[in-house]
Amino acid sequence: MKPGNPHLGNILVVDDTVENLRLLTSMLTEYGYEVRPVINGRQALQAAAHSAPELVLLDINMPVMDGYEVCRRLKEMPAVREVPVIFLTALIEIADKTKAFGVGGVDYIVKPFQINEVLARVQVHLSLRRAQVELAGNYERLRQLEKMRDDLVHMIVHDMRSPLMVVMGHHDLLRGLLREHLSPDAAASLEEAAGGVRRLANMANDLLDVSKLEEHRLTLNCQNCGLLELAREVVAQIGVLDRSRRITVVPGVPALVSCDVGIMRRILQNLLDNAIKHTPTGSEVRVSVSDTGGQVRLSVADRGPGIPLAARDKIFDRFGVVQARADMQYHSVGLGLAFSKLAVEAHGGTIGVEEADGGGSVFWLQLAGL
Amino acid sequence: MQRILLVDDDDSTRKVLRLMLGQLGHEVTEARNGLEAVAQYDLAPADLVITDPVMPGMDGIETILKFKQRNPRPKIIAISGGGRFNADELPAMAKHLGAQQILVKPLTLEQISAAILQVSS
Repeated sequence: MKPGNPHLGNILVVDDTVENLRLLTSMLTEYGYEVRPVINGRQALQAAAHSAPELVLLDINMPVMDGYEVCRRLKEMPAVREVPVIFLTALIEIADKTKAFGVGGVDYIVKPFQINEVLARVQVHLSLRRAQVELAGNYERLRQLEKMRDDLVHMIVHDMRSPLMVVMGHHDLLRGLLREHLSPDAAASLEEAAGGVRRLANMANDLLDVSKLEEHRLTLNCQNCGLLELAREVVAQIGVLDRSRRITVVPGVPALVSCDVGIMRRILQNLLDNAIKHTPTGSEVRVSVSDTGGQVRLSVADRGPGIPLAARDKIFDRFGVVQARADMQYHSVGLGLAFSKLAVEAHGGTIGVEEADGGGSVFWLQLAGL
Repeated sequence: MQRILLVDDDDSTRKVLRLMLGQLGHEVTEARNGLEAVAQYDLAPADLVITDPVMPGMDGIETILKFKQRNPRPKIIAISGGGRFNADELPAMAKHLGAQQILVKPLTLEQISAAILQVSS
């Protein structure tokens, strides 16, 4: 007998007929497999527990513990569960074949066996098994890489918060200290900087919360809130920072909903930032609310180039890139809309975009009214 | 005017928060970590504690527990952000332990002022 080649495959052969066992062992060893022959179920379980084989050839008809029972027990061992089991049987009744698959076997060979058939089936199942193991390994490696990447992004974004705090805080202080002394241009520069810091802070929050929302780990702190009033508040805040476009809140109903006010404020900021970004200087962004049949709807209409029909779903994807119609420019939509969609859905609502009358887009969100 | 004990391990964050709180008219004592904070508090109890819930050494959570031993109803604002990235759960824990307000960096003067008003009233 040549010594087995562990790279070719480690096979556990179980048969109570010594003649069969010897034949299979010598044949498989001849072809370079590493073979462990055992003569009953108990020994098979011991051998498998000691070290998991890559494949098992298992006789069905054995005294004390038959092949089905051995297979069932092998499938209960975590390290052996996925190892392919090929049954050896003199029985050719349909019921036995079905039962062999039922207890977890992958194939069967009818005795008296032909050497070529045994070799062919062993090869097929070993290579299948190896492909499976490789696939599972690759999947696990990819998953770990993705997790590492996500963790890294989180760490970077989280670490941005303290420097952002320093910039935003000192900016706020400067604004107070210099209020009386700045030229209009200098004051405008200071406000531009404040807008940038606010957007950066929102980006950091969106990024961290998108992951939490995707994993359903974000806890909403809901309270009653009027969307019209909240929209006015957000528009006033943004309006101070950006006077290049008119932002109008159309008078309407209070539009009461139950929501996490901090999150809803960021959704509105995102929708408004997006609308402002795509509306030409001097044009108008219109915010309106309605309350019909218990459904509250808030819309933000811009005067941008519009969004092609095909891109309207993609625009809510993380870092989706959309080619706008009129200017044929690619616009990266970043995370703001992805965050907004997930956050609105976490509130049980819906969000979407449609074409505005007279050009531009209308982003809308709909929530159950109170 | 409140006597505020400000606890943060990041020097520049602590500095800007001290200036902001000063601008709002409060009297501020600083500590760089939980141990210093508890020692400061024992020396002169503050009306209000503003702490980062995530700090090296005795972290913010433990600090909050120490304050609760000294004052069963301490007024505490936790400001989270920065430092360890796996600290997502800490703000929730801080709230559970009795921080009345949980804020997330960065913050404006207005947000800090609103939180202090809410905690002190």
